[in-house]
Amino acid sequence: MLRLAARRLLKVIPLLLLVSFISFGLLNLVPGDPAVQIAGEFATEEQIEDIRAGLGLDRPWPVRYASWLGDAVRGDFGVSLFSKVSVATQIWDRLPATLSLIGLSLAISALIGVPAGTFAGWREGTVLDRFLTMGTTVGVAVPVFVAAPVLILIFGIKLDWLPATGYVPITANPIDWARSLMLPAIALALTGAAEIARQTRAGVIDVKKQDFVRTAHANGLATWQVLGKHTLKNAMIPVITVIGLQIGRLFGLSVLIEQIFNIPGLGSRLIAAVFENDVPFIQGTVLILGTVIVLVNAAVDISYGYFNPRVRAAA
Amino acid sequence: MSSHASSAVDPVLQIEDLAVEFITEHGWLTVVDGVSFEVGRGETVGLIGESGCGKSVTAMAVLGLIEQRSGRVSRGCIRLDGRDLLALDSREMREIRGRKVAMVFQEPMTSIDPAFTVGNQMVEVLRRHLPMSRSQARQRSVELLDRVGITDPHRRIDSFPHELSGGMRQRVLIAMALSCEPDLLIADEPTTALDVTVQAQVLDLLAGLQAEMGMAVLLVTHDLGVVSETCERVIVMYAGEIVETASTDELFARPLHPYTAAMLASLPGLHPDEPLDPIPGIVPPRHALPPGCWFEPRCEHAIELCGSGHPTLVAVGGRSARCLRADDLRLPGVGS
Amino acid sequence: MAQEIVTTRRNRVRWLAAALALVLLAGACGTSDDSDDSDDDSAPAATDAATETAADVADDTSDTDTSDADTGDAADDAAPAADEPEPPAGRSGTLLWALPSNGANFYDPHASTNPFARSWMYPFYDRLTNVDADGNPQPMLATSWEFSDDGSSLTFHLREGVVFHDGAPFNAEAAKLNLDRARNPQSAPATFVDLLAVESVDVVDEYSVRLNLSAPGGALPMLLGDQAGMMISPTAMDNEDIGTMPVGAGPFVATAFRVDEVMFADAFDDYWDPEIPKVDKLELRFILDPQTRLNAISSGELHGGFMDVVTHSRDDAIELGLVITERVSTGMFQLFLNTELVPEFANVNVRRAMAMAIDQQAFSDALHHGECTPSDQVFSKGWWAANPDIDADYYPYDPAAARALLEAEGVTDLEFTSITANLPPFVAMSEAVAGFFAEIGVTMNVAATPIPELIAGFIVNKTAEAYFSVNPGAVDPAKLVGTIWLPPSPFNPGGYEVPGLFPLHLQAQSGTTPEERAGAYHEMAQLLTDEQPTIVFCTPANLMVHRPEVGGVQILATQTDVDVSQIYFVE
Repeated sequence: MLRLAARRLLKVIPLLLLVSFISFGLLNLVPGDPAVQIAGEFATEEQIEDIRAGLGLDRPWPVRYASWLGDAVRGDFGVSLFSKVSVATQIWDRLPATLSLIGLSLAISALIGVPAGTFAGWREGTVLDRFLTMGTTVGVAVPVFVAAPVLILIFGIKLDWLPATGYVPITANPIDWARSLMLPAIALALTGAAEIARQTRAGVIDVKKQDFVRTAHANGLATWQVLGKHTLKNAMIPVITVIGLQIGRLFGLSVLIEQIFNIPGLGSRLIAAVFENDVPFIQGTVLILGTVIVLVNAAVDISYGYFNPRVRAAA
Repeated sequence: MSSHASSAVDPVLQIEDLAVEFITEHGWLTVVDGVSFEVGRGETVGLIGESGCGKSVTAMAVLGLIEQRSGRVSRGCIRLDGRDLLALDSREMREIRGRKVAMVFQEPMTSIDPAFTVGNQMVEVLRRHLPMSRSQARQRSVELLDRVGITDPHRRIDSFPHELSGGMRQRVLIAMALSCEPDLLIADEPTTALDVTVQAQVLDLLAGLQAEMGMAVLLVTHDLGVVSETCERVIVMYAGEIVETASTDELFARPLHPYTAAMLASLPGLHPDEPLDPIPGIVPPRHALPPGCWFEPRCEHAIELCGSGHPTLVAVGGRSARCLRADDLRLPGVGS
Repeated sequence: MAQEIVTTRRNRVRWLAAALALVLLAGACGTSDDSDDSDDDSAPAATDAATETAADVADDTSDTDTSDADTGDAADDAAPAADEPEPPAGRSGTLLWALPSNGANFYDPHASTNPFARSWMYPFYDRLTNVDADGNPQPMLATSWEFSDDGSSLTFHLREGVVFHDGAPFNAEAAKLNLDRARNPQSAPATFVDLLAVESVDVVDEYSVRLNLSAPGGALPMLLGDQAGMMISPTAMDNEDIGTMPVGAGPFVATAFRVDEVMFADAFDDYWDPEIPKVDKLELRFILDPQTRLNAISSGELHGGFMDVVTHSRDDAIELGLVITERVSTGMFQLFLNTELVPEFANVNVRRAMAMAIDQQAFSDALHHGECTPSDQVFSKGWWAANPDIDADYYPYDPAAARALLEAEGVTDLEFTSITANLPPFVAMSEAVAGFFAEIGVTMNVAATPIPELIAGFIVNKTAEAYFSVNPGAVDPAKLVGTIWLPPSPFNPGGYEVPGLFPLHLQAQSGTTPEERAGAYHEMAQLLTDEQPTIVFCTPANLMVHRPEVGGVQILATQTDVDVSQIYFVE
């Protein structure tokens, strides 16, 4: 298991380099000149040139990449284009909200999806199964930008059970933190829960026909042991794969969700940063989020070793 | 019905008039019909027939696992140590399985959960049925592995199934099945998937364990060769029915049913010089059974009468057969 | 077609719409500067802003005291009893207000070229003057001012006893430092253009400064009521974080700022006007998405904010029990033209034909919930610069006449490409415009363009043939003229010269009050309407939606801008 983890983590390094290259390079390929933005419409050519030089934009890109990467490795991502506020500070201020949102929504989608899929698969063909399958079909089909306003309208405004918008840091008040994230996390979790439920159901249906499940029954194991232990663990690999894929998707959708629920995470800032052409912030954020996603996927791969011991052997 | 022909002294398992149905595209079809037999304490009984004859379904019915396969017991009675198993609810049945009656399946490669170690799964079964601590259960598991002939059991107990050979896995499955010392072990083709030398070892192991633990064994197989080496009595099934029961010696010496005789004739190894003589034709499908004897279309001894009335299982001096001509045919046996 | 676009609009479009309204402007168009807020000097008076309660709005449209009272003729009869309650005597509570733009997270009054940063600055920075709802300059940090007889200088007499948030005194020296900073192109890319006429600034005495002028400066009292006249504490001017932590002499003191999220502020206890502010604390929150803003306001998490009419209709807010305060902005949806790249644009009859091709009312109804007031003149209705005699339908919608006009000019197969912000509402509007032009045989291709490239394409590199956008307006018409229609104006990349415009522009600067200058602007309005150097569509409404428990919302003349300094909680 350790060997698997070590090997997998080694593979992360070139990936991270690639991420850094993309974070830096993409934005340099995109047309649009931050200096023009800063200078305003009455600027002269010389003013724009001066600003460009001030931003270091007059140097060749490999030089800029090397110096940017060198700083980034030390945690320095530069300062935002207009505000001059440290990008690192902004990212660390905002990362907790985004990670809270995504973590909570993953937890919710797993807590809904795995049991729902398990029961549907276990009771394949029953009314319960059909009910749950219909639910997941709807869940997958309802886009987050439809679900979110509906949740806000019902639970945030009409019933007024949960805050419709806003975010409370966990350090300020853990209960308010959970309350403030509940609606966005649920909105974000719906599709994931449905996807996980479908995958779990398919896995359970497949696994419950396996010979070792019959053995478990023949040995008189309790239902929870047959289902919760033997069936589920074997059905989990495709589910874990789906969860891994969800994470990238969740980061993407969090941009939208943070907008809708006014959560001060990285996603909402990213939108504004794109409009402002705030290149340093975009680069820093893409690098950090890319790193998080790469690491999470490595963790998912390593977890295969837990669910399927043969993977360990193959390492 | 004529259960006296297949009865046992001090029966552990008593099956009476068992019928099992499965849902199919043709509706509910009876795949086991009117099966009655007993297995005595310490006895080894062979249940044989071609695949699809209902022998495995009968075994699953004893374990109460028919529902797992979208079937149902539609009639009859199964008693284990005198207790009516069909009257038990599923929770009670789970306590019987693995504890009073255990089963070894024919696919050792796939019948152990690949995601957990051998020891984990053995401990789980032991602690499920017996009041044991985790360490006691582990100690017991090591002993069991040792007993089933696995070398270095202290190390093997922490192996994952994929790290073991097929023969070792079957030994592990046997160790698991026997771990709670059941009164009845059902072995469903326990050696089919193994190569020949390993087959013999596993059969020897089963015989030895049985002698040691004194349990009854119901050996489900299509292999008469296996039966001849291990069983005291044999029950032959065809198309969901018992067609003949007899002691092993009698059956091999003088089969009463043409189907039994045909199976004996197709036995490889006993007549190594002769070409194999497979039974012509196929088992009739359940939804298109012939009106008379169900073996009649394939029977080389059939007479006109065989095609009209369905024969009953008739006692013939301590054994029984389901054939109109049981008395007048002289079918060839093997060996003696 | 426009209709279809709107009806198929989905939620996704909605939040993007938010972005659009705000940002598009931000990056793309004019920096106009200024604003006006409506209060007069010391009195915190709740004079103006038209406030509608659910009740009155329900039965009629608007009133707005800003003088552009055109629409709501029926307004007056509808019971205004609950309208604008009296402000309380004391100070209480925390005001939470949503702004639709982050103003690029940079609030240096002289350096921020983002046209939406203004709302973030007003609570913290007092100006030399304050432009009221009628567009007239009123005393603020200057109690009075006068031009020399020959118009070669402008002297401001400053309020005594004023201190900045950091305790530094406000005096002539501080004013001079600020004015010199604001007219330096290096330190003040946003405001130096406003102060080009100022040659030097002299300290006359402790509380008087004199601006020596090299050109007519009639617009200065107005322009100094906006960013150019904002006074930064001389001891904080060079702070590294002056762009995010304002230090001025306004009624609120900034206490903390989080990028793209919130500015926290406390009431300034030493503010020169003891009546202001009316709340203990202020939080300005940036919320881009219009639906999110409305949700936050209706659920009570915030007290008010900008309302985007592309996304919502008035009824959406009124049904939630909220109140709308509004003012017609000085902004305008326009099609900017590059006469250099498309020579046909230099032909006045071609431009007239294009103006006749547009059904402005349909455009407003389909894409702005009917809230974009149709106009053929460049100064919005009700503004003192606007010529009241020009019919909004100066160019009636008449495709047949337009086609005939083109034919008479021998213009066939006119085809060009217009850039616009790549935000769904702007693309939808551009497509609608293209549809109108198609009716008269003119092909307009729409190029949805990333916001950062709009200015680069149209103004800096001058590679775009046309540009559809909204100009957010200005505190003084001189600024609009200078930004858009003069030959060197940034939004006139072809350098097109409207005959007779420049003399009128000069003439308009020689007056010193709106009354004196209005005549020239009315003439200019006539000229520009007739010439259509840019094709004019309609004036966007500037609507604020808020909870009924707050009053005193001061809306500025520039699109989306608000001054929250005088908001109070109804007792």
